[in-house]
Amino acid sequence: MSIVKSSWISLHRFFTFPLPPASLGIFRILIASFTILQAFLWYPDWLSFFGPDALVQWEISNALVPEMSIHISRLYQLFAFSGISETQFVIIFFWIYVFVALGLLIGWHTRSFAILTWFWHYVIMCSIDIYVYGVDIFLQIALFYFMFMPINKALSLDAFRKSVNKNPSWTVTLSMRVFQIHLCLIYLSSGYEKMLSPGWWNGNTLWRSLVQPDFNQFSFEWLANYPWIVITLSCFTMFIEAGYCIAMWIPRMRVFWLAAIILLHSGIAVFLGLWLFGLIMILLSVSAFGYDALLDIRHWYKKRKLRRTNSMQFQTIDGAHPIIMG
Amino acid sequence: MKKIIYIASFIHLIIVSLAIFHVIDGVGKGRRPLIEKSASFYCSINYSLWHFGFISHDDVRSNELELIIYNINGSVTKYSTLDGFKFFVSNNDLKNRFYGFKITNAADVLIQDLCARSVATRMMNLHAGTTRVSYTIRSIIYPTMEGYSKNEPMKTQTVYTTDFILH
Repeated sequence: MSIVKSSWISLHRFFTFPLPPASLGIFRILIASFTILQAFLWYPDWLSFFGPDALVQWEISNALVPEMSIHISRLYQLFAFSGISETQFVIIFFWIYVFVALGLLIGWHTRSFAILTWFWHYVIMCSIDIYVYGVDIFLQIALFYFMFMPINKALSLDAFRKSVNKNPSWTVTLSMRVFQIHLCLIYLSSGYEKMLSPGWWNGNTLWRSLVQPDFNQFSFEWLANYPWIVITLSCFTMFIEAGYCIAMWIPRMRVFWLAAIILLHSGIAVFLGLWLFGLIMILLSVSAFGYDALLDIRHWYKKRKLRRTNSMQFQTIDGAHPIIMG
Repeated sequence: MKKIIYIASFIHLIIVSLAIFHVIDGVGKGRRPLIEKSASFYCSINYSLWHFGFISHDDVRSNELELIIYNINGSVTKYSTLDGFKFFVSNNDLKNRFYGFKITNAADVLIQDLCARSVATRMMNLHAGTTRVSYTIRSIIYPTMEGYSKNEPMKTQTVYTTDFILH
């Protein structure tokens, strides 16, 4: 068989071999729980961000978003006839957001709730465009995929009610592969862009991030006297991010890389105070590669057990040897 | 149907790759604006257009937003984002959102003007008896590790400043 043909068969298998839907069910639960958690963290200041008299008022935030985007004020225009005030609408908007995310979490009419959650989050992002940061971007990417993925095939009310086929299928495989590749592209570009910056090679970018008041959680000024520590951490970050797209496909390396990514994002959460950002990045990587990593660990464990059993058999034979001789 | 889904998925991945690696940033500028606009619109729906930095070179620049509120009784209240905007938000996640706010603010004069007006109005509503609100954005550049160990100070530069006075 030619190399081209065998590569084609491997590629075909990679994208089409039916995978069990459990990993997508876990992905849905993790992201929907995260959405609800983030919403409740927002609740005390919801009106300060989204209200008509927010710190940046509707007229201004509306003017700053592109024409085709859906600002919350444009959505309000559709319901203004009902007589509810702008403030009431913003509060109702919040509770509907929580409700649709809850529907997604339990997997009830999952596709419809996935579309609604995506749409609500999209309106949120368009309405506070100037406050958006990484955590919103990655949540939006995950919610976008939920509209198309068969996330209701496992761990959902839809599956419990037997309204969906729970068998492994090519749709699960394709969904997982597209999401995994997207994540690999993100990490590759992130690692690559860091490598282009001299500040990452001499550690100054990381050091400045640690000491500036926006992210400063602990006193890290002392690190200036030990630049090798910062340079090592910078190189570790670039290596882990750029290598993600390769290591995650190698069974021997996947578990260690996933652990390293979790460590990296835990570090971002603790030392830069970006708790939600760190959390969502961990959840995305765990959702994408956690199931494979778990299979790797089980495979190692079985292999180790088998090796131990074999070595015990050898010991028995060795032990029996003198008796046979005798 | 299966084939169509696979083709759509691959097209999606290609567009995402082009967006992430900045290829469509300049595609067809002037020549094929339709392609650029369509790709940008598609990426804006799923936010793939975002360029991933996770602490990119931009993040080492810091900005300070300072608000000084003058009251009719002569008292002066000063707020600074160097204190983390704690006066405005109730938790750390919301505080982090002001990082993006400051970056956007420092980038464009029109946005600075609009946001300054909005913030000043909000502050006047919150603080009864306000006669004047002073709004200043400063850019802060921290020294390198080598500079810091030689006691080099941080550089501060006023990017934008305006006063709102009630008559």
